Amino acid sequence: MKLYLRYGSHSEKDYFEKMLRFFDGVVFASNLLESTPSATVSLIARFSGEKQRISYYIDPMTYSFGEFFDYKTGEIWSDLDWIKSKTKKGYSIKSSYQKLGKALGDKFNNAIVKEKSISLSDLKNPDFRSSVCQSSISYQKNRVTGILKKDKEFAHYADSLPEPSIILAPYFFIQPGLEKEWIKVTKDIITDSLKYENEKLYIKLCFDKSLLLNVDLLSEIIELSKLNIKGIWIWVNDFDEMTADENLLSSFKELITSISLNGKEVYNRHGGFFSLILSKMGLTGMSHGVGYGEKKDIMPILGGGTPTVNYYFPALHKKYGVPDIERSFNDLEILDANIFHKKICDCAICMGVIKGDLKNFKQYGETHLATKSSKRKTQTPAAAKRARFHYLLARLNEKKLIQDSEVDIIISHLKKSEVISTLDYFSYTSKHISTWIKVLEDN
Amino acid sequence: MEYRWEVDLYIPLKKYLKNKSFRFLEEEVGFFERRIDVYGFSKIRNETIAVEAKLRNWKKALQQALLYQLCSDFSYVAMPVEVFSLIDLSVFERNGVGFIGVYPSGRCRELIKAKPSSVLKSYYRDELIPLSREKGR
Repeated sequence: MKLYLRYGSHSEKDYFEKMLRFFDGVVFASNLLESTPSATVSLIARFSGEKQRISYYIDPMTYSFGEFFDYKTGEIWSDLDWIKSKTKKGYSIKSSYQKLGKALGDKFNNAIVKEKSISLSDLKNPDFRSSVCQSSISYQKNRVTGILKKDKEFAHYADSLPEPSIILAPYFFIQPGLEKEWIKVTKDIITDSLKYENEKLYIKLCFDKSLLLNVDLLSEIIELSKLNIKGIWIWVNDFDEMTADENLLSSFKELITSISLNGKEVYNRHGGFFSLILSKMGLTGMSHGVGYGEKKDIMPILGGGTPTVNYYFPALHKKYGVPDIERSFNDLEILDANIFHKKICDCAICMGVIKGDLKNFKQYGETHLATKSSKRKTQTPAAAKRARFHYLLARLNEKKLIQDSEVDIIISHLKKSEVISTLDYFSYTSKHISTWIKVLEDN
Repeated sequence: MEYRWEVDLYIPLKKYLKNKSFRFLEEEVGFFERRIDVYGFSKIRNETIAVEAKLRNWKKALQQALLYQLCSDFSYVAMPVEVFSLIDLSVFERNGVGFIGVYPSGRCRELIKAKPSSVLKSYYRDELIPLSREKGR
């Protein structure tokens, strides 16, 4: 099972410097690369250069230049509003996307200049589509070394830096109601892209969870895996392993298995523990962020503040607030630090936070008034950092557990978790364990 | 009176709690990322009380109240009285969470008596008492 970490922002650099070597690869979003080219390529050179040789790839984010599907109304918006931000002059396309548009090639740049998204009908045009494929693949293969060569400090890395391990064909959201047309266009995109990359071409399939329950459409998706690509990244919109029902999870599992039976690698762009388990059923790997990113909607919800980084509770494979975990101590007979480390977590972070006194566990939820004008307390950066490092260590432990266990052992492990999930303060929000067991037992 | 918002429950609730000797009361008290709707302290009894007010979702209210047992001697859910017939009594009783029914008239009645919290952490209680004493007169 390959675990990729998604590099979200440079505030996460410390986590990657300390932990990336334990993971299988790193994903950089192209809009981050364009907004901070020197900083990003210097990291790529450090992580993936001769010393560490960690796999990386650049996510071209081509879907951002596509149409926005409004779930409330079913309308399709083509004004690229979702990549705009408010400026003194009104709303304009974010500078990172303006730069990305220029770097990705003419068709993307034109979309930015005209503030008009790339549409399904655009992609049906062979010349247009070929240009999109050629330029976005060229971008992924050459952009990083191109930036390195211009930087006096890092130019010498350019020749020795390996190419990205994954090249993605341009990808767009397969809109509900137009799935067949989008799948056809995706097939054409793959065919065109293979002219520019035929050794490590992957396709990213972004679709709504409703597609998982449509047998015909699923067959068409699976047919795509018979093309001459190396693998498929799956990104399901509005899909959360924690809350998806048995039908959705079963269907997702079947899709993974079917693609892998066609001899192709298959990855989940946003996954958690359930996806780790699916490595036993064909999933090659998955990615997520540092303490977040186990689910993500393709059509974004705009706005919102910085969420609290809750404690990842290994017993239930989910994040909870500190009070939720502490509330369980009595029922789980966790009376002191030693028992906590034995039953819950003995990672270096938990050992360092608790320091022999269970009362210190609350440091994971430490809060403060962030600014002078703040009225509401938020999590301290130090607490968020502890939680994120713990999350990464817990994830690595889970990976080992899955690698070392057969499915029946994993199910036994989940049944022990299920007992905990039925405690009253967990039961209303922790039905995922029972659902996972049903899906896995149905294998 | 029909209660349209949760905050509409606060006035009758606080009046009721004051009559029960919880003279120091504070609304929306922060407890980690959550906010306890009403937190009170009784100097006479040296007891604290946390109340989660909700209009309909008793399960969510109960879940919050269970967490507030960490920081309060007694933990209650307060809801319009008609919701009482919908709740799972056994869960409340099993965990020692109380239920206060709020009538349209503004009258409140304890329909399930809370038990003293068996998971109380004194360090949380000690942090919250001053808040209710400072602001909640």
